[in-house]
Amino acid sequence: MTQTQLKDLTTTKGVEGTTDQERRKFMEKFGKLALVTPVAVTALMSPHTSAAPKSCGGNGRKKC
Amino acid sequence: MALTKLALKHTFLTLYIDEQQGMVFHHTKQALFQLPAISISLILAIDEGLNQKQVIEKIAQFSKLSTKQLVAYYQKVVPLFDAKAELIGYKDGQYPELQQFKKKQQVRVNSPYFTCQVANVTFAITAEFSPLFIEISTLLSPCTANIAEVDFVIEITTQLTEKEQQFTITCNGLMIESDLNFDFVVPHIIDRLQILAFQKNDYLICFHGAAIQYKKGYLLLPGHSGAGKSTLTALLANNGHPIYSDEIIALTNNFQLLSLQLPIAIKSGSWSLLEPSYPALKNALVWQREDGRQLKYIWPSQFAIDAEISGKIQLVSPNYTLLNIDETRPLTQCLSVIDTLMLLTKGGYQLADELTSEKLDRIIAFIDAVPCAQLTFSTSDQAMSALDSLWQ
Repeated sequence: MTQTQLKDLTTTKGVEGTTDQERRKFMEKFGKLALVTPVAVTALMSPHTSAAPKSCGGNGRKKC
Repeated sequence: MALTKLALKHTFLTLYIDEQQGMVFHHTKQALFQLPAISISLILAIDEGLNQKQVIEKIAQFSKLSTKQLVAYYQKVVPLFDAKAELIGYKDGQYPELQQFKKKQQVRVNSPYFTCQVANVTFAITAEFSPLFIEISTLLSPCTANIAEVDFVIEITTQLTEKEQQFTITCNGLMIESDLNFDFVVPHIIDRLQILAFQKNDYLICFHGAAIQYKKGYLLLPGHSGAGKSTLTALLANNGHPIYSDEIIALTNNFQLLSLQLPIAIKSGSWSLLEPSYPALKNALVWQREDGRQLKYIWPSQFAIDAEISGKIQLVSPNYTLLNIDETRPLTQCLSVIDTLMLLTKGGYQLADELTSEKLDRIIAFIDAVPCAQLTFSTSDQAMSALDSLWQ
């Protein structure tokens, strides 16, 4: 099983200033990319939505 | 597409981003959220300790969105910075008979129970109404087990009302369904066996979908109900591919697939398509779900044995559509890690235990290692041909 390349930019060996700079770079990049979108935050996983998957319903429904 | 992971100054939040979108993991809520581009930008600004006015002014320097729009998004994003934990945990999703499970129960010799086993979890089932008992024990006969002690005892009692018989299902003494008509009982039983079987095993996470041994690897078919999973699974099974499950992709902590050996539920729309491959479908009893869908059950010819995934894996989300599609080109769309996670969780998922950062990273690593695609098709031949092409 291969591992994903998770580039952790906040390693303990990292330079604080560099980390802040990188964050600002991403802030600007995604700010420029931003389009109108109907949903600002979508819950993917949470204790409220985790439930035994059943054919008759999507998540959040424990019973048919 | 590899994800970039960013720890924030608010240490209970971690960002994961690709080129287009992102996710934020909230450590204390143990929750994962998908973020469009603007929300990523806002989170990074809020994380610097800026107030609302400062955040909006900063983002407005490079965003084409209006101040009003930015304020609306800000108000949706800022609750993520509430560090309070949730009042419930993932373990609360366990079925009650599991939460109260203490020890196996003895099954008396010559008792009116049918005993069976699914993924090393054992059941004794009985029903007061003989025709129902005969139907259940006949349908489940391939997973019969001659056992004296079981994990779960399922009892189906009958109540006569003015109009008809109604049934109540209990499991280990707990009432789990009541006021059921005859046609609804078996789907509830099969669902219960399936869910208790994986919940009682040492699983990490499960998704709604099918898992099949395909050529020298594994095919995962996640997706919402009605997408074509079970029909494709039945066709693949008939072509000699062993099945892990047609309903639940259950992954253990070591990313093994759990084999849940139970009959496949085929909805009415696919009966005529599958009858040539499964002649028993023609005379099989029709059962119902509360949403009105009718289904019949068939057994695949072989099930896969639990095994560590070491061969190639492909994740394909089937999307059956009646729209006219060029027969030479079924549509396949590659999915990013974040899109795959959105698809998997939207279709139905369950985590066994608390979601830690380390566990999330392992799940992300698994999805990133598996090619993921959505396959849109309108005939089964199209789908089978496309699966073959994707596998090359």
